[in-house]
Amino acid sequence: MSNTTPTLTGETPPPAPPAAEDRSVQARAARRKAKVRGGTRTVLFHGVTWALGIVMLYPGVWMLLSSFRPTNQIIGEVGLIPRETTLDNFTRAFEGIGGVSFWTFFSNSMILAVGSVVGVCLSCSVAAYAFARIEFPGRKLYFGLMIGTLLLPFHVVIIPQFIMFNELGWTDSYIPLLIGKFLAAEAFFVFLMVQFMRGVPRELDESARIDGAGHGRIYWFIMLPLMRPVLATASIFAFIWSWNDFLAPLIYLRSPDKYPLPLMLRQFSDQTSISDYGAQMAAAVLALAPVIIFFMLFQRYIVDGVATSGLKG
Amino acid sequence: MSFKKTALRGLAIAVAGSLALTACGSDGGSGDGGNVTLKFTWWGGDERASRYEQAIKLFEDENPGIKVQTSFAAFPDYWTQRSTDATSGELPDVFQMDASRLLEYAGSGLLLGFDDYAGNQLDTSQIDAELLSSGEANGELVAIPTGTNTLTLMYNPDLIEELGLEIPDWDYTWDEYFAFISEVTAAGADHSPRVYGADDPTMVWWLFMQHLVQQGIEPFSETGELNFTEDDMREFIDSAASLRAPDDQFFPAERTEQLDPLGGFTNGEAVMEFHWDNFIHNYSHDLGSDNVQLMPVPTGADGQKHMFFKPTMQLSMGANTKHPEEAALLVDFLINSPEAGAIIGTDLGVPASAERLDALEIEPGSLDERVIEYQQRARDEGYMTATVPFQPEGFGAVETEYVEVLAAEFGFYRIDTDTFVQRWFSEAGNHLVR
Repeated sequence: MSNTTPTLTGETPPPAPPAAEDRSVQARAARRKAKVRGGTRTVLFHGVTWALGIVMLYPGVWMLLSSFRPTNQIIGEVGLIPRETTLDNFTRAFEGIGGVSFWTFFSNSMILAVGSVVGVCLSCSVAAYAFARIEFPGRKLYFGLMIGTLLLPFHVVIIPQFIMFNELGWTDSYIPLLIGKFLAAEAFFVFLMVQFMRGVPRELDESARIDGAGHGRIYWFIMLPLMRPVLATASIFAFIWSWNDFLAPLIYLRSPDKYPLPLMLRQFSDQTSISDYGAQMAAAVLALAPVIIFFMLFQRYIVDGVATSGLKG
Repeated sequence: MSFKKTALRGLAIAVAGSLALTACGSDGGSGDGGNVTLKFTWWGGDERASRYEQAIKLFEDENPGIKVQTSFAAFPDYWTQRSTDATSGELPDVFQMDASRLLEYAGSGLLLGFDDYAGNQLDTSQIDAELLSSGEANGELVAIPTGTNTLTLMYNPDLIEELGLEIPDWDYTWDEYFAFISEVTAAGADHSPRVYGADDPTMVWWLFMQHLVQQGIEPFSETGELNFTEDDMREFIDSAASLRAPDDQFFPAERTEQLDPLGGFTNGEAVMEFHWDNFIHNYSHDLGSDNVQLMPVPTGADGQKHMFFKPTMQLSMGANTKHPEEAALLVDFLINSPEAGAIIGTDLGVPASAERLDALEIEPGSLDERVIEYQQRARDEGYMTATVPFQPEGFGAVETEYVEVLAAEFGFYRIDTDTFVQRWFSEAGNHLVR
């Protein structure tokens, strides 16, 4: 693989021509003025950013601190600092709902989220490889159709999909929630990966082909290792979307011991029976923790992956 | 070599994954070896779930051939699940029903009639005939009431005493009620936090129903026509006009918005609120005080209260059930069995079954006792003379329009009485199926 551009070694950049004395003084004054202007601009920028940040973070912080308040001091309280603190909310949140413990809901969410990540990474990258690297008849049409599915709102397909999975006897299981992920039905991720692959130099797989590699090997040994940033991005999105998904599990799952966390959270407050806002806040904090940790660990890759796949926005 | 190894590993992961998937989906079937599996679903929180689960365990012990697969969700989610079930003909064998949705489901033929099972698997003789008829649709019994509730004025005696006031007697009138609100709001001005009398009662849909019944008007005909006019509604809303201007003496709409999902009463900032009597459980829990008391609605113009019992919740069977006899047996157990009653208590309303109510052991001083005593006294005083208004298809939608959409705008003074009434009537034209 000798296709990297040769660098010119041993050459130093030409020295800058010496500036005249008076011009340099003028320049220094101008620079100082610019620095002052830049300084006020920086202060303004940081001030506005901070203000916006506080406005955006306030509800989250409020939720976190409210989870330590006694239940009857949560609603109607706009301040942040609790008057009394208690850990009872967490005790009740861990007890779960209707005999199903918090950890059951948590592991259900984990199964779904990890399953989605594995499915998306395996299937979407294969589909993307086909779209990006293999010339087959109707490729453009299929690609167009796939992008077309992005325009279909979930709510349009929800009923036909439900009927289909129900006929197959798959309701009240995780299959309807995961099968699409394993069959590359997530057009967004396929698109993201195709865009990324288009940026990978073709010379790489051509040289592998010369060495005798077929599509399988090229995909596995050349593409996949290079796709790390976009796989990380896809994983993060797949994880967070699955973790926060409410409607699909609500529709497909019927047994409470298969419910993921978002369905559990709803159960704490009910207009028709007793509501436990404290436990709800505590459970919300516990449910958010993995997503926040996951995001903080991988946030660097999100930016990388999105930037390198040429997706603007 | 290494490619093969990696590929094998990948394959192993994929196989393990698909095995795990099939394992998740393997327990969907019902009925093997003479056994019957029933699906039973309800809405409600933790408390109800644990009570139902206990009762179901008892049912399974008594009926060895029947297994019950339970499921629950919060109220709005519950109806999302049921409507997807309905589209695919997969409604649960037994499920909790709400009177405002009954005709919608029954009208589409989604519910199985109880007529073939009443008297056999299901004993309906213990339920008051008039109450039972509220579960009929097109002349067929499709829902069995679990319990009864009735309108009440909940009040906070401790707060009233703190303000140095006294709640009116049970035979109070609407005017006396409004006067008492002004009294409380005036006395509570210096209290911390500021205390008000109550929310605007004319913005409560069911009180409007109660008001119409007190005027001798049956609000809706069996075919969904309105039996009241714009003037009836305008007159009801304007009956409280003196408390809105020049000074608003009701609980402020801004504060209600801030407190949501709690209310003025449950946050200790209003001394009374109209609601269904079984809501005393949540209200006392949210308020953090056991001392919440109940009294009837104000007396109408003819000196009578004309109050009515409403079914709290109902139980229905999905038309698609393959085991209707066993399903009817489960309904019978949940409605009549005194043992199940001991577990369920008044969580589903004051038991509709007379036998169960008699057998119910109530803890002295409990909220349950207060609700049962309230209903008993209201009956003894001769207040319960009316029947619950007929709820046509679309009733739920026009109620929402009244209490959520229009009442909120009215509370913020964005619309006046005339606009309120006009808009409600034009919406009613869209929602009520004739």
